[in-house]
Amino acid sequence: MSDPSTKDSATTKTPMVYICGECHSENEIRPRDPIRCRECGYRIMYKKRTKRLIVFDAR
Amino acid sequence: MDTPSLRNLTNLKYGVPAKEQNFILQQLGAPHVSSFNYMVNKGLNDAVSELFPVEFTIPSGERISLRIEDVSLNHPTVPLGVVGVKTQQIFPAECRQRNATYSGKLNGKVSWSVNDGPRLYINQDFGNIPIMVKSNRCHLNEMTPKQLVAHNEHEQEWGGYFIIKGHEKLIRMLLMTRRNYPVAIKRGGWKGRGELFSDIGVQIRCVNNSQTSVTNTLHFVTDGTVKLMFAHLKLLYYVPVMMILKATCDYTDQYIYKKLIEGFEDDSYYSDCIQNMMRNLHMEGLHSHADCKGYLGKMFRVKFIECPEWFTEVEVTDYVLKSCILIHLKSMKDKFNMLVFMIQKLFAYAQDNCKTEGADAVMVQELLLGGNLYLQVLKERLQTWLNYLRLNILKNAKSGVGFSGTEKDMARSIKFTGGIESIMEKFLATGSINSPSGLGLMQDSGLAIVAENINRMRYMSHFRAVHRGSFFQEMRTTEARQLLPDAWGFICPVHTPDGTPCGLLNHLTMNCIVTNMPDEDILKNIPSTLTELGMVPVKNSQVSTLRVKEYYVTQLDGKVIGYVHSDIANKLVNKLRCLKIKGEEVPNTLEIVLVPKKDVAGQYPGLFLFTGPARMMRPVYNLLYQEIEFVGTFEQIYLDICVTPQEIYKGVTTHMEVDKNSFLSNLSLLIPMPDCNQSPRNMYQCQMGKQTMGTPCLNWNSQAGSKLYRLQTPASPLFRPVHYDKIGLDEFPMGTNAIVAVISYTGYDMEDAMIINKSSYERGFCHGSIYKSELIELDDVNSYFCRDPSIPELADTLDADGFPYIGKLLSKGDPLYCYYSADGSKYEVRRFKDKENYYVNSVRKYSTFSARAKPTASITFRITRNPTVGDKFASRAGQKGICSQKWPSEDLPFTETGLVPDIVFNPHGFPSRMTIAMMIEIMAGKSAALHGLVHDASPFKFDEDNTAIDYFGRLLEAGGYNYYGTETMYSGIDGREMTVQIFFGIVHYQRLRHMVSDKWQVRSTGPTDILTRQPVGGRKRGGGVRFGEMERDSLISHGTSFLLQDRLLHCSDRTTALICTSCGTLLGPMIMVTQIADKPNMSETKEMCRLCGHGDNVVEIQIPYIFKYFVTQLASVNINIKISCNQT
Amino acid sequence: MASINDDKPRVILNEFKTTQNIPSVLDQTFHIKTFKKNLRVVIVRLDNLELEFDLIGIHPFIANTFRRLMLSDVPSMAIEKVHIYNNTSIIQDEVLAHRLGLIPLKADPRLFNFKVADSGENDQDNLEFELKIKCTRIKDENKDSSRIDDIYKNHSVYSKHIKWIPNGNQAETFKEEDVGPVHDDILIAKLRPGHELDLKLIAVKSIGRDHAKFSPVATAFYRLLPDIKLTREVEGEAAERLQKCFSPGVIGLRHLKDGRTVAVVNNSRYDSTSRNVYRYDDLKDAVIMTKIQDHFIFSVESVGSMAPDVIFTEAVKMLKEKCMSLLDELEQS
Repeated sequence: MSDPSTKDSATTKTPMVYICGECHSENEIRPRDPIRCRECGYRIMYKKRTKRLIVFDAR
Repeated sequence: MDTPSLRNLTNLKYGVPAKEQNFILQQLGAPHVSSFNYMVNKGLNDAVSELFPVEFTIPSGERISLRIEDVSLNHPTVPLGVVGVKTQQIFPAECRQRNATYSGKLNGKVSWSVNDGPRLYINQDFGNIPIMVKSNRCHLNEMTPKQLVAHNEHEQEWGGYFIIKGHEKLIRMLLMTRRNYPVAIKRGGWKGRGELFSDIGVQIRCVNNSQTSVTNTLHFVTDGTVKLMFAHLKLLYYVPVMMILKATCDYTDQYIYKKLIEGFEDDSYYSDCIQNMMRNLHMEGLHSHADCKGYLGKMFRVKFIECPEWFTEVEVTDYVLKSCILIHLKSMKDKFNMLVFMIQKLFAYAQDNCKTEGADAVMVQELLLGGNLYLQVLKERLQTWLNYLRLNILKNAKSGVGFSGTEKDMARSIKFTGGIESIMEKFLATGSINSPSGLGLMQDSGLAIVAENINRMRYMSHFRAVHRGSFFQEMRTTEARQLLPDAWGFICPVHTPDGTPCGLLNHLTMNCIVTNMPDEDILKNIPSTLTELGMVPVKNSQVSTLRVKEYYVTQLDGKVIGYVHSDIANKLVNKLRCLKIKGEEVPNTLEIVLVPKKDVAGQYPGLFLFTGPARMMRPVYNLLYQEIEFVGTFEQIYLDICVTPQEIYKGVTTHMEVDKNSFLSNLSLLIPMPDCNQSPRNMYQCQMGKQTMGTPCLNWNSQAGSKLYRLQTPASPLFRPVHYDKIGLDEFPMGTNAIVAVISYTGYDMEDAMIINKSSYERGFCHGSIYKSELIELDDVNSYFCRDPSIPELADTLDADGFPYIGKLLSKGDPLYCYYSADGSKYEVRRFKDKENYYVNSVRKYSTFSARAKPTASITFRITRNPTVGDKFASRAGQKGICSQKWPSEDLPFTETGLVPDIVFNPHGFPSRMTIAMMIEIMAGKSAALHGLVHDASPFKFDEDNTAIDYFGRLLEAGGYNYYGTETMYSGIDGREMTVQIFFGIVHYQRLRHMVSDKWQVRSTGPTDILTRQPVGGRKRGGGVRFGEMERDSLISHGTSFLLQDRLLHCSDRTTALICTSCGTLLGPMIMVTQIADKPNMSETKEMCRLCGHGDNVVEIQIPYIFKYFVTQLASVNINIKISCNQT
Repeated sequence: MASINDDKPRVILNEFKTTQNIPSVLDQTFHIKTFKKNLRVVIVRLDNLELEFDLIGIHPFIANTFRRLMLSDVPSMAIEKVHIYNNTSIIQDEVLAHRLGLIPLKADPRLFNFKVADSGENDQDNLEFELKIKCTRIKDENKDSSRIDDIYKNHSVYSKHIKWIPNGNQAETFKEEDVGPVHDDILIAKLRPGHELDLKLIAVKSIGRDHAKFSPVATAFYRLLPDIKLTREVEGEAAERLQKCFSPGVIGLRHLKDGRTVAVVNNSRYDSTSRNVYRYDDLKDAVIMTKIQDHFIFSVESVGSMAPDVIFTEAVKMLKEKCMSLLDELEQS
């Protein structure tokens, strides 16, 4: 594999939503993006929970 | 707030940050923070001005002098040049999560001059050094609770620690010898310090304004002379004290003699000794002040390499006197006076006219505070930095670059000198120092600890812990561990661990404060204030006309300032106390110690005043002035302090305790009714409280620490001391109110085991979880997190960003994260390794300011840890137990009112432990639940005439229960009424963090050691539990030989070996491989003995492999093992 | 002592020990005739959730069996599986699931089957619920109000937010009010703006032995009927003291015509048998405390899915079934 950015554009371009630890604004971050809030420049980003089914035993 | 209450349960405003922080909790961080603040405000520049200027000649012959000046420490901020950042400040919460260091820039000026020419300056950035949280260089300083919460901190944050790579590090408070007070010590080891040395000495730990400390000892030599010890770069030097005395001041021999025997005129032995010492000096040819100085300079020039070569001998001596001898005194005259005092004390001590004080008593101790140690380390680092700079300049000067003293030359040399950033960080990260001087400490490691936050108790206790020094931990004697009476009120007698650190790791009492640096303006006026009160000030260079015998020598912070007549001493002290309470003319942390003259030998008399920082003090009530007064450790032993007003003796008692409980620490104040327990149980509870699962923090989502324990269903105890409310422990609850039946019911409750009701468990009793974080740093700057598109199965677990989705349950072998490795130019998948199942709690991505930083992220996991068989529980009375069964609730006994216990506690736990407080708690808890109350469990509330049992018994009676707390119960198994009455009630139970899931270890086969082929040890590696010699002995004595063989041979390193029975060797037999003549592709094997030459007697036997190894090893040293064999 | 020497089997509570007046009921051989003659059931109190009745003339082992059956063998419905689609609240998934499991449901378990592993989709063995809620900020109203009700919408999730989703024929079989949480006001979670719960809950039928949440009773227990007799007249202050030694209503004070006040036993049924009377030396001999060994006062507290009397009859049925199956087993072998 040489350069994945051209080859696997599908995954590397899929953004995930991250929440800024300071101003709580939602940022879309792609795998190669710098980790920095676009609103306030904060350096910690929390991954946002996505809707996925998880089954629990209620006990 | 004199009684506990349940108001938090109904208060709708509960949880809204208060206007102000809790005073008691702020006290936890106060000593640390104020010592750091002192460093920032003043100490730093004091220290820098004390740095010895580095002076040297470069090859071209120029004299260069280097100095550091004007050092300042800045708040932690985003580096210059980072754009798009809204707030420039960096807050602790960010550093904790990002695993960064909370540090601020240290700026200063480097100044230099060539050939004593004009000084030139250059601004220098020494790098970022760690900043103490809540100090005045921290952004959290002075924040209101509301603001703190807004910055992801706790409402009550008290600071005092550093954040190093995400960990909270605390500089441990160490007990040190009290500064600037000569202590009479007897130490056996001193006899070996030189010929004729005795074990007697007077030692003084001198500390100057920049908190640099140096120890001087006057040794009594059995020929009647005295040697002064001082240390330089960890080497000890002994000098006749008379030589030093003469070198300090240019006094006549007569004056020196008069001064020395002042007050001891009729002690002929003493005056003989003095005369003898003076004579000895003359015999050496050292007659005058100048002679002594010249001699000392000549002797010490080689050892004090920091002195430039052009220094005269006198200058070297001055340097030695300034930097190594009584460094707390600047003036030579003061040093002379102090030395005289010490010699007098030493001779009094040698003649048994005064008693040993010893270094282990709290009265002669003070603390080493975080900020002070930090300052010392920093000071030494700056000195080293200057030395490095010198080397760089010399290197440049010698090389082609050259050095001419211009700014450009200087900048070039500085460029390669580096900073002190990493060293300061390393100091706090490891807690060890690498210091040339040793900083006057007895240890060079273990100085910083992690402030573990297992629960609130653990976290709080770290900040009030004082350690005697790891040096004493190895000592066999127990002297340093003893709790001496003078520790009363300062060091908690209950709260110390048992085992190795017992008595060495202590905790300050709740009321104990640590003094700060007093105001300098006030300090200056103290001598004149004393003179006004009747002290005769000391007059130098003239023999006083006083009859010194009738006077008390008066010292202020180790400086002789005058004499007070015995008749007025008490009056003077009383007046001084009045001024002290007012706190205007003298600081209210002044320690006034009048050691009285007595007919029998006691402590060496004198009036000693201490104003310095780092002393322990505590508030007591002054009966004369009807005010609170702070008293020190030394001061206390000469005061008469009563506990209650009834104990006052008129004319004797001077002070009264503020509170009956003032001798207890924060944690022991949380034990319910400790006065009703056998004392070791209280110690156990202090330990167990710190291991409880509870609520360590409230900001769960901004935590990235290694491991956090959380109790899901905590409750507020119904029986608790007032202190519980005072420190707001309802915000960080740590236990559950359990219905307890004291009954021996199933047999599963033997030996401290306890049974938990299965239904209670299923309804959430003691449910808990663990939060764990994993920091991930990729291998290369250009690597990035991303899911490998070529493996579609990854999509089940991982999102496109290469991380698992939030909430995912991970089990062993699942993909944990995936990244594209720029290093290997391919995708890498990391898998989850732990055997337990983890939930993904959060995923965080971080960035730093460095452009070369590798991508980092952290995944926080959640592990459910509901109680299982084998988990540990404890009540608050040191009664711990292991859960042995989860018993179905229908099988448990039930009471007349249908109540089923949550916990079955075995009554055999009571007689030998004598934890009466737990029995009281059972009754109190029950009556509290019955009447909707919460009861006060503070100690000393009840007494023999008014017992707790009667009080709670009446409450139970009023509620229709038995006075003694017992109830009729019915067996849950056969339904019959029990004939015995069962003690039944509510106890606040703690769930301890020791859980079987973390400890179980099992092995049938598994990894073995390569060399010995025996099973390896260690739970993590899948090893076994050692079956040791004692276990072996017990099997032998049982006669269970097959079991023994199974354990030690079959399950261990069984191997088969060939032995030659005729020559009895293990090494001889070999397997010969020969080709079969007619079949070239096949070979046959034949056993044969190399010693016998044939294989007739070779047989196969089973032996431990280690035996074979042993035989081979012996063969290598020419020892043969012969085994005689019998065929059976 | 004459008064306690009737034919009733009694436990006599002495100060330090218990004795019996006649050989224990436990030792008597069981005769169906005498049993039938002696057995009596008296219902004392019955309301929606609570039942108190007396079971007289029965062996403690059998009484206890009913208690045990009610606690652990009579089935009920409870949420067993929680499908979490989204949960951005501060309560952790597994804790939320556990909390939901403990919510009592009003669904008659007799109308359902036990869930079998391979039953697949069917409407006979499960109930499905939904909990979808999102907290938002109320924008316009009351800017300066500090009450959270005025600031946030849906800040607290209650059991009333759980919505039933009928499966298959369930919509016809059950009415909306027949299924769902017993109580509307059980706090499940607290939310703040942006927090969201999106859950599907599946309730099944099971028994209390499996998990406490399936137990149909909050508690079911019995006690023996206490009987208190005064052996002599207690008057004045001592009478008041005596009254305080027992539960309220047990001892009454009678004002005699001659001005004296004497203690009389009003109703010993509700005494908690605290034995506090033995603390007073002067009162010890005035009282004889006994308990009738075959008179059980049962209390059954239902959690709400079934009426308490139904739970008891279910337990009786269950015992009968168990006995029948035992007999079958015995006959076959």
